[in-house]
Amino acid sequence: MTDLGMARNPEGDGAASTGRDRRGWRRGIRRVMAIGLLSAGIAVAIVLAVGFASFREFASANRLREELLYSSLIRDHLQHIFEDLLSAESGTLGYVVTGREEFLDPLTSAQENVRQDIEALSRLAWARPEHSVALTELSRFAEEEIRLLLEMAETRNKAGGLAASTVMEARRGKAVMDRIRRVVMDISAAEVAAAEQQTFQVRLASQRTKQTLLLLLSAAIAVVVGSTLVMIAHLMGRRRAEMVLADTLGRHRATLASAMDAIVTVNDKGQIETANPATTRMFGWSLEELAGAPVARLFLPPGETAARRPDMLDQLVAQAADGGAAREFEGLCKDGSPLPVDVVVGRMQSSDGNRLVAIFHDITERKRAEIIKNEFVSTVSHELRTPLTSIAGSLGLLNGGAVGELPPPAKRLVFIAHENSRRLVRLVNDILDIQKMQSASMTFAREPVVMEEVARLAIEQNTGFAAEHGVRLTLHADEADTSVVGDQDRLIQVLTNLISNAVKFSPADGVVALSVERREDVVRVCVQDHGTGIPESFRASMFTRFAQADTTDTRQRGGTGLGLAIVKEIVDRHAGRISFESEEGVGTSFYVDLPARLMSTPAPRQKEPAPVLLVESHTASAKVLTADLAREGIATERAETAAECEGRSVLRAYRAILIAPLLRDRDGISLVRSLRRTERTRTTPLMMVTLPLTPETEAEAEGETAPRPLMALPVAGWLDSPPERARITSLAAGLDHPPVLLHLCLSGPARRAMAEAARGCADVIPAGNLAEAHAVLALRPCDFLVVQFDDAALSPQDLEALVRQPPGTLPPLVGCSPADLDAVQARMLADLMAKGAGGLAHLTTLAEWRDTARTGGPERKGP
Amino acid sequence: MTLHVLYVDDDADIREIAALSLGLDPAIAVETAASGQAAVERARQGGLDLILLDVMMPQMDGRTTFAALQGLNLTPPVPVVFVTARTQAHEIALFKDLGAIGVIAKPFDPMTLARDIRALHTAALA
Repeated sequence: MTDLGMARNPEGDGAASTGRDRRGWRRGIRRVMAIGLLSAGIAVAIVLAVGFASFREFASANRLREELLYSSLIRDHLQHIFEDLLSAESGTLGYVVTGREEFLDPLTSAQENVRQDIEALSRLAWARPEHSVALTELSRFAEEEIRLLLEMAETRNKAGGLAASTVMEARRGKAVMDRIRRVVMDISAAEVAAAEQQTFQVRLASQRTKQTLLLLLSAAIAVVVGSTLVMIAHLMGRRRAEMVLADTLGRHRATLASAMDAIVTVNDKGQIETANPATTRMFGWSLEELAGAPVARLFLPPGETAARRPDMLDQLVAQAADGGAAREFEGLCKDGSPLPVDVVVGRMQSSDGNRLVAIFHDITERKRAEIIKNEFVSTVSHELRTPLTSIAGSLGLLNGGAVGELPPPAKRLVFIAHENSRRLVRLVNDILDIQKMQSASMTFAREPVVMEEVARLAIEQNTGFAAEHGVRLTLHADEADTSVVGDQDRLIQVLTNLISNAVKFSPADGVVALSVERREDVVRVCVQDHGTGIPESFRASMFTRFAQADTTDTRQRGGTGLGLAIVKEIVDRHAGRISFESEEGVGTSFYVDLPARLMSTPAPRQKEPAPVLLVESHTASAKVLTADLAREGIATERAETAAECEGRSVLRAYRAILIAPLLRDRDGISLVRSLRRTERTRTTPLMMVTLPLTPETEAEAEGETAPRPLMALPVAGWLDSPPERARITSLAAGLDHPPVLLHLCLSGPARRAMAEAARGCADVIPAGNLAEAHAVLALRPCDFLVVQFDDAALSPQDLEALVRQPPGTLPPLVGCSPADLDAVQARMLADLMAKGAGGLAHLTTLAEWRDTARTGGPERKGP
Repeated sequence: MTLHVLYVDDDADIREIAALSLGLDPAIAVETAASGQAAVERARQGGLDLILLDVMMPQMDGRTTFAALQGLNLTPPVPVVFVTARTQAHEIALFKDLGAIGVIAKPFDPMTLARDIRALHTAALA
């Protein structure tokens, strides 16, 4: 699984806006949940409050009931006492009057009943401390009343009715009874008042409780209604959002379905998840076949070996991390045909993982148009030059007086025609230059160049032109080292264009001053004039094509309007910068800043052997190879591209350069050619290496003892087909004799071409197959094995066997094929090498190469 | 000493102009050839000091003609200057690698052509 790196996405792209939507949605959910929780809390609080209020209401009613019961009990007892005493009194009076014993029954029962009631009252009286005095009095009066009645009955019994009447008439009993009545009435009245008071209180409390309950109930209803409304609103919002989403999805589906470009989504395992119908139209795979297939299926891998495909996902992820801008790839259709595509990559975040969206735009037509345009421009330029040569030549001869003096008006006309023919030539040259630069078909040398020397040469070339305008050129240079890495001819072109502009805009007797100085890591060349200056309005468009301050300039100054555009293009290609300062009427200074060449540090005497430079675009393979070499005690530097290799090899010496046949920017064979043409690497040992890794074998290969599909093939050089004499001669560098070439080739014309090219500078021994080659080697030593890679007659088995030879059995290999087929040959070589697995054996011979690198050539092998 | 120069170009107008401009130098004797084959034929007869060879020619182009001239093994070898409308730096380097003593870009300046090739010839002899 690959980390699709979503976290690094800082831009407000699609993924981010999806994230925003999701965050908004989550916020909505959180809000609804909070409202739900809050209303539930409020509802619970209301229920508790209602419960509490009801409970309190219930308790207070209970208390009231108890109180009332209590009060009525007290009053009952008082009533009983009073009635019992009244009955006892009436009975006793009856007895006094009649003397009949049965009238004493109420007194007898009153004695017991009153005692019991008094007792009951005393028991009840603990909660009525206010009645305690009255009750005590009541008890005392009741006892006294009973005692009086008993005394009266006794008196009747003993002294007869009259005595009893006397006692009765003393009215002592009535007084006691009055007191008792008063006490009973007092207590009863107090009880009734207390009961009424309590009832009133309770009624008041009950009313309050009712109000509270009503309030709480209203609150509860409000909360329930409120939260229900909020939830309904949310649900409606969600429904609306779902409808919008459905609409958007529908629109997107329709867009995807009608898109001209293939659009696929890729998961973090590199598998295609969805693809639109255009994908089927472009690549020929059905949507069912694509679902779950590795995205690498849509790409023509470098070398067409399946082993190199899986890093496609890494490439796409890296591209997405770089902003995802369109990059050109070679696509692969189901029928195996290649399809040039521009691929734009975007990242997508979703709840179930990160994804990539890759958009493939078919650029077949554009490619075709580019080729046609380039060919057209090239052809037109060439075809224009041929008649121009005649026109400019004829006019030049006329103008120069080569065929005699012309009458003055004719001379003037011829002069004008000649000047314009020259301008036309410059225009054609400039158009061709800029077209080549912009189509990147112009290769720039990368060699150490001293800018002071460049400035001197530029001045030399322009002195005549300046003199025609009466302008003097001067040079001031620093003592410091002003070397840069680049293409001397192109840099001269930069200064020539700047000088020619400066001269054209300088007054007669003016001076154009060049200066070269070193500013830390930059070499600055300044071209300064004291001319008219650049108008403010023109400064912004100065470096665009056909931009001139004044249309009349073209005619008056004879420029093409392309000079500065070319200057900028060349400076850009040197990783430099162009700038200017100008003041109208005072003059202009142009500054060219180029990265200074960093000198390799002076070598100490006991220095480590130089490292090996590994040129490999595939990171995993480079890692494994570097580790392998480190175990052999060989230090490695890595270059990811051919261009980086060229840059590095100019800056320092390497023990050897290991080159993968297929590189991101170019092929390994053209790199071999260019390394051999460059002075510094003319004799550096070169080796083609392949280590095809799949993700499955990748982890395995990193282990120390794991078998590797590693193949290494020492390559001494690469000749053009038909070969050039000069290149064959250069093979002899470091040998003290003309080189002996064993030419593995079946084709007659190729053999003849080789023999012809090598005549006088090398011995060529042809061999039709590998067996023949071995037979030759058994008889005589050969310096190089030249393999005619473009020879269709050569047996594929021989070529396979060739890459499988143990180290040392064959002389160093020199390939031979047409330069314009390098990419094709490199692919073939990579395939070939994928079939052999030489392991580390060849690489370990690097230790021996240390010496040959010093002498500049391989040792001669053989008997 | 007269310099015997052969100018090889398939374009008759250019041959004429080249002959005229080289003829400005009284010490140069100019001959022209309209094809690679004619040039090789003329070179085989000897007596040439320098050959100016156009690159883009039908049938036998400049490079092939050059290879054929080298195949003649003339003694002393006749130095060759390529004249080309294609003036990419690497092409110039390629021609020099092949063994040419110089490359002149088309269109050339007819007034200085003689001087230029004389300078190249002198440099090659040195």
